[in-house]
Amino acid sequence: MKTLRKRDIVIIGSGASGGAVMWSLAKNNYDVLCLEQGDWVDPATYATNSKDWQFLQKTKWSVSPNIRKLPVDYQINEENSEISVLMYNAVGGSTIHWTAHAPRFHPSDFRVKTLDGVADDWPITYFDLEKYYDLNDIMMGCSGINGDPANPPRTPRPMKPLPLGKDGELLAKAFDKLGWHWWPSDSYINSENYNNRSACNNCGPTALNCSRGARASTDITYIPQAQKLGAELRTNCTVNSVIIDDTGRAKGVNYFDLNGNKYFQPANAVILACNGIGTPRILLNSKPGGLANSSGLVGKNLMFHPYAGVQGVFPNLNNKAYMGPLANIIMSQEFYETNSKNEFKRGYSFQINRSNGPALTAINYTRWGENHHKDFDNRFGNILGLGIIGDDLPEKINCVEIDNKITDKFGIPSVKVNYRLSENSKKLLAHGVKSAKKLLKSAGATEIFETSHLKEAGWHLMGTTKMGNNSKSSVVNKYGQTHDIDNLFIVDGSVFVTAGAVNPTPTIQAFALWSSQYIINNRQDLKS
Amino acid sequence: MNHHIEEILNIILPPIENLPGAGDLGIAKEMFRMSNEHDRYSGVIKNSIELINKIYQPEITEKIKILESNEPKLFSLLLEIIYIAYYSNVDVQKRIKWRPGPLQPQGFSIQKWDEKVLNQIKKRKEFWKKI
Ligand SMILES: Cc1cc2nc3c(=O)[nH]c(=O)nc-3n(C[C@H](O)[C@H](O)[C@H](O)COP(=O)(O)OP(=O)(O)OC[C@H]3O[C@@H](n4cnc5c(N)ncnc54)[C@H](O)[C@@H]3O)c2cc1C
Ligand code: SF4
Repeated sequence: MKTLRKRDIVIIGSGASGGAVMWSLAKNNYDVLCLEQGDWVDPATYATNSKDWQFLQKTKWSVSPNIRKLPVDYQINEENSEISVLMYNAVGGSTIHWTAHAPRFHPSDFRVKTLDGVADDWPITYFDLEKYYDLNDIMMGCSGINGDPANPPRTPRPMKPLPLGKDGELLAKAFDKLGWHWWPSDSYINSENYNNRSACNNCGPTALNCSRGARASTDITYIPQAQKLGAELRTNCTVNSVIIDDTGRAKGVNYFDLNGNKYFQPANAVILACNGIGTPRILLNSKPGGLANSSGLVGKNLMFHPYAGVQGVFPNLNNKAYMGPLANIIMSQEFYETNSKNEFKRGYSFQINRSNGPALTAINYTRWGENHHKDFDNRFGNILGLGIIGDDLPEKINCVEIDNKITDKFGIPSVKVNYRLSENSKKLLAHGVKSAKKLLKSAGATEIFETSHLKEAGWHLMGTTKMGNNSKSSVVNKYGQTHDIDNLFIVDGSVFVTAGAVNPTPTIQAFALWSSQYIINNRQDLKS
Repeated sequence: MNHHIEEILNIILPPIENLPGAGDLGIAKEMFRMSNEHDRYSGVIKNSIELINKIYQPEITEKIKILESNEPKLFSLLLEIIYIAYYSNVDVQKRIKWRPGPLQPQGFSIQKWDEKVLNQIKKRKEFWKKI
């Protein structure tokens, strides 16, 4: 094994959080190296640029690593999970594949124990993160508008909202009619040209990557800027373990390059940013019983967001509701907070989704045989959906553990995911489905479809190295520093104490920036 | 009797307007290409046809229904690849008024952002929980 030149800080993973810390630390003169198991993806190869995009969407560009099976993907044992894990492994991480819906957590999400007697409070508040949310909005490019009554006032977004379109306006009116909250979505998608990236041209039914660069991903936002500031990104480097010295401090990491050659990369500090699955995988693979695991909580408390979908058919949309970004129109937070009248704690958001392309419409919404064309013609481009994103309360039985039976191409053991929906989640989703139907009927839907629980919904990976003040009941402190090892940090969604009821990435990135600011202010000792 | 994929395709996606059924449209070739390109669909067509041909039933539509109920996972993958190949066909795309080719660089135009849509919701008082 070859030992390489020592660096101040080695970051593992170049996704949403890894990209943000890479930039922030490089800007403050740390000698930063980021090791990423994937490679750069050339936007020219994105599915949006191919006439075969419908086939690619289900195969090579699937959101599931278990279906995609690219050489870089590690397979995940999901036999015992009611939700499938979705992610992307490349420079940019899962932001290569995300829909860039960019809401913030609510102040109440950080205080659920105090407010509702469930789970734990976070050791930080919304207002601790606020200025990092703002900074991240600028770096990623947020389209949106101030004045949302469901969220605290904030500084203006750098771009105006994405247009709602006829479809969005139809549902906005229905929310108004019922007196329910709605607000244009905050999105990390350009509504105008921004930072040398083009405005969105509504190419629609996406979640397929944006070859225009209108949708932010860290490979085109943070990372190139970090590189300009001197940070190094080394691709095709798969880390298998963090190495500890005789005093119990991290002294670096071991990794494999593309050809299976093994290296030791020394560093003054190690930052893990491999997401809620990849980070516990490395810690649990680093030593028997897991590294930084005196609490026994590494891998435990896995949270996704339980997700249900209700779709309505609106023939007056004239088969055009696929134009525009798939899931960046409107968000409603009418049912976000705990309501004593409900049989569940916490709540959910509605995220509005547009229609799919032709093949996915046929797959999801038609019968085969003599009824097929009638179903298709009535429904194609006429469907609007309400996604119900439920809060997910942490439970130790929902967890990630090492599965020695599945290994990646280097023989590194993969993981088994154990996850079941709690009674709270089931009741919450049932409430969401009922409310969504009411809304769609009121909007004039002629037909309604429902998926009471979507399995392929593991977009949001959280909780597996919980943050807290007490080293017995958490893995990292409020700055993402592990309680057990003072120069080992975690900055991805693994540190979340609770899940909130919105997409998590702005909060993940704000936390990563907050954590790196702590390092900048307090850990000059990490500079060689 | 041994059925061919074209016959099965014509039942699953029958003729419409000036288009023949999916089998006569010639999408089987595309389906085979796709099933060779990614292992999600490998074996799906061949296994489905073999199973259909083993079902003792005179009527082809009934045979397909039996496959659907006996082998739901295989059948849903078969439907997926059929629909993907069918709705990637340029003649079919013309019928449904879908612009053929990649999604980019052309995109679509949708109406501009108009702040007037916020008139009613803006009247609502702040209701986020202050803590
Ligand atoms: C289809 C899809 C849609 C989504 N839509 C939204 C949305 O609209 N809004 C939202 O907020 N969130 C969304 N998400 C979630 C969002 O992408 C994630 O929350 C976010 O990317 C997580 O950031 P991260 O840094 O924790 O991990 P990731 O972005 O997943 O990055 C982790 C990186 O670590 C690398 N890595 C892992 N293990 C190793 C190793 N052993 N060695 C080296 N490198 C390693 C991976 O290759 C990867 O690049 C979506 C996700 C998906 C898949
Ligand atoms: S809809 Fe907009 S953001 Fe989405 S891929 Fe197309 S151009 Fe990019």
